[in-house]
Amino acid sequence: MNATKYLSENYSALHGLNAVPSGLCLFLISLWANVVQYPIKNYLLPIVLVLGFLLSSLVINRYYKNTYGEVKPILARRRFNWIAQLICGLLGLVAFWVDVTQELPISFIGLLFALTFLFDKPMVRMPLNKFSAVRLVTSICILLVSIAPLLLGKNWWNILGVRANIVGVIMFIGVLIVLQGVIWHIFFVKSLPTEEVKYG
Amino acid sequence: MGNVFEEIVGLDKLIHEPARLAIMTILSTVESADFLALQRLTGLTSGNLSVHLSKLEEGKFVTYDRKIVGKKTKTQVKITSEGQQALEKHWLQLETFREKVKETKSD
Repeated sequence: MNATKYLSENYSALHGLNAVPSGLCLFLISLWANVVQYPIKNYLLPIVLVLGFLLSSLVINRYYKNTYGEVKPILARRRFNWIAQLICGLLGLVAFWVDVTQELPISFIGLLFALTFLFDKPMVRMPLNKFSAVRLVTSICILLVSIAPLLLGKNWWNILGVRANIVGVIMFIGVLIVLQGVIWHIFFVKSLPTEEVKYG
Repeated sequence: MGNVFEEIVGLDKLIHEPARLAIMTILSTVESADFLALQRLTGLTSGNLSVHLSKLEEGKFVTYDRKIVGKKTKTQVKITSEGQQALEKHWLQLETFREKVKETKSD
């Protein structure tokens, strides 16, 4: 019954494929930022990527609605999501500005993502289940990459052909978001009863 | 132990039925769920789910909100306040019963 409650409380959040377009978008835009010639004259590719992200998000959302139905979370949860998104959005802008302008040996965007993965619903709590274990590992990986310049030197991304710390961090985060999304989708599908459960 | 068996018999059969208990537990954690989501979460066939939902609706434990969207009927199911209270009472009864059995065993 606890597993069923967890699934129903977090039904939409566990639709992992919803994260894939945003992860891919982050990765591809960072890749573009890494290879583009400065000063940038043509923003066509990032615009196309963002449009692609929006379109694929709609398609994936429709897939989940038509295949798995829809659950409306309780009002407190919806409020938390709105407030969290607003706060994260604002903090994200500040973190991005700091990373781009200050050249510090840690990535604040990375730290923000690492914290979001820990505290966003469903929150990582003990005892871990398979969903929260993946979230925890993802958060730790992002944290390590965010502080890697402290340990490996400010320009360690250059070895991998990446121009700047922020570009490398966001590319890495994009990949992890895609991976986590796919894994969560697999877990979600496997967690649901596949045939009529014998209810005794 | 005699009281304990009376308590078991006294459990609300409308909620105690396992499939309906699963449905009520799901609905108690959300504002509403559509028919397909309930089917996916419970693993029940659509026919079975309809039967159980009808019984819960007759008992005023759930309400339906039916809308026609395009060519399809979308059904949103919500637990009522009576349903929420009945579910909490049910879990409390089970917990009380469990404690009494423990006490009897330790005696």
